[in-house]
Amino acid sequence: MYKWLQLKSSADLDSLAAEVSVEYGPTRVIEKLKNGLSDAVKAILIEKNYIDKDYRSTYYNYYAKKGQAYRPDCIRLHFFDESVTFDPQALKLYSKHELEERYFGYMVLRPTGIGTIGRSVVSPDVRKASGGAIITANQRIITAKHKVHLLGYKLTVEGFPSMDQHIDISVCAHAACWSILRHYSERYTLYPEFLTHDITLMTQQFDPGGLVPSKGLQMSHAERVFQEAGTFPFHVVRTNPQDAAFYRQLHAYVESGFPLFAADHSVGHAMAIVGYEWEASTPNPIASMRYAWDEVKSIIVVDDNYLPYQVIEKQGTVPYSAGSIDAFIVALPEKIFYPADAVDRLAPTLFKLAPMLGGLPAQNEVTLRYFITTGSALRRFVRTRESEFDPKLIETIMTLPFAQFIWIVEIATGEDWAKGQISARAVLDATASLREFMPFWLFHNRKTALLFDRSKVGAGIQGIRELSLSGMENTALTRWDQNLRPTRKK
Amino acid sequence: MDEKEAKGVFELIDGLKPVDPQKLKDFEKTMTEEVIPEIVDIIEERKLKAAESRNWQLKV
Repeated sequence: MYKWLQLKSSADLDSLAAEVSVEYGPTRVIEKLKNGLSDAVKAILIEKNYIDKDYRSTYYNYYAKKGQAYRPDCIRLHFFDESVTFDPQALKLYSKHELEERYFGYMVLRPTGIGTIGRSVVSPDVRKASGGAIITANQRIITAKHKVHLLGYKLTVEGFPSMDQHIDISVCAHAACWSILRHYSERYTLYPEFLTHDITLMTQQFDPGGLVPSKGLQMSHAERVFQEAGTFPFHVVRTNPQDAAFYRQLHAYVESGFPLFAADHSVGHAMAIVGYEWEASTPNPIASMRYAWDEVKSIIVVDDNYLPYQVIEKQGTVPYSAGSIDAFIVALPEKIFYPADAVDRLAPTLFKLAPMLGGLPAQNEVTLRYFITTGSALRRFVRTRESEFDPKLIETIMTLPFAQFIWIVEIATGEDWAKGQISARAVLDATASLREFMPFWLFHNRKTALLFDRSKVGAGIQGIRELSLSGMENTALTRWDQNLRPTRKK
Repeated sequence: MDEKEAKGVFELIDGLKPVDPQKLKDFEKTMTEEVIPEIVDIIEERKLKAAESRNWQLKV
């Protein structure tokens, strides 16, 4: 039932073939693990006869109905570091450290012969980069904590869910929808859990039966899945290959903690975008206005053709580039009415308010970064960095009656960016209407804050007040990184 | 409703000053004449593109 496999090097992964029978596709699994897992993984616990809820949902509804007999159970592989040992008689795991800190996640293997890698949550920290890319501390990945029950131990792994497409009953788009929705159900109590077969059914108004899903999904089907799951899908399509605003908002939504269902129309492929990697350095000083997307080196995807956290260069060719993505769906919560396109166009206009703030850095010397968060998160951010702010500004942020969701726009010079700081921050109302000319709650730099009264419609200039700030001239105004987890290479 | 709730948000924060309306003029003009029409146009264009893309097949 349990078998311990010690790994001195990745070549030892070949021993898995003796423990994993042919219907679980060991050859392909071994190849993927060799190419994708770092040497920090020094042991695998093989858990046989594992009942996997996602596989069972497809077994009951599809595989059990076939003439060829399929096993109802799966194998689960658990990954550990060198400090963990296993006693096969006592069925106990030992480590001189906290076991949970030495656990790198799991991978379910399905007995389906093809596309056998099922529900998996693997830590990004042990992902070996492929295609020459290197895992670095500049990577930011959307993760959630997933509970794992093993031998009476309750373990946790922080990562993003992934699985292979089944090929016969699910395709890349199903796998991407499943990954995103499983992340939502683990990360937010608001969303229920959907199994693989549920996703297949959610694409259609009726059960198509048979092999219909393997003929592919359309973008509209993916949109329908997210709508059925209780989210509010927002569908954004590139207008032309030079549409920089498309990529800037793609990055902004990921930066906000929303994984994206993304499509490469030219090859009919879908994947989930779950993170990005900053460039190692940024021009300092900056010569012309830049956006956060300009500081991004690559995006990180969960693509069912690879192990999770595949690095995709902005303009590479292997296996494809961020530049070939031409549409995405972001599964938003309700009450985000002001789209990223509006923020993207509004942000440069903030410099017209510079006279009211007593000055801003020159527009051509800054990087603009924008993302969605909540009013509560803003208050928490400020509370944990009280020394950065004038107490009057803290009082203001605690008092303003923010709507649940807000857009943040941060303005940073090249010098600020290099230090992880900013020069000014605007807080926009994410429930604002497209035609509002002042969709703000707050805009401040180190000297002045502008407050906007949104309790009355059409308040105009009467709805703006100025607050002089003191004591912030030399404080570190920190760039707000909150939603994504920096990768810690093991 | 207590007295505090009845007050506007500006009355709850000390040290606020009105702003010079002249300093808002350039921003208001740019927003009204350039930025908002651009926003409305791009949202409309993206809606049309989204409608076209809904039949894209995804199956690799």
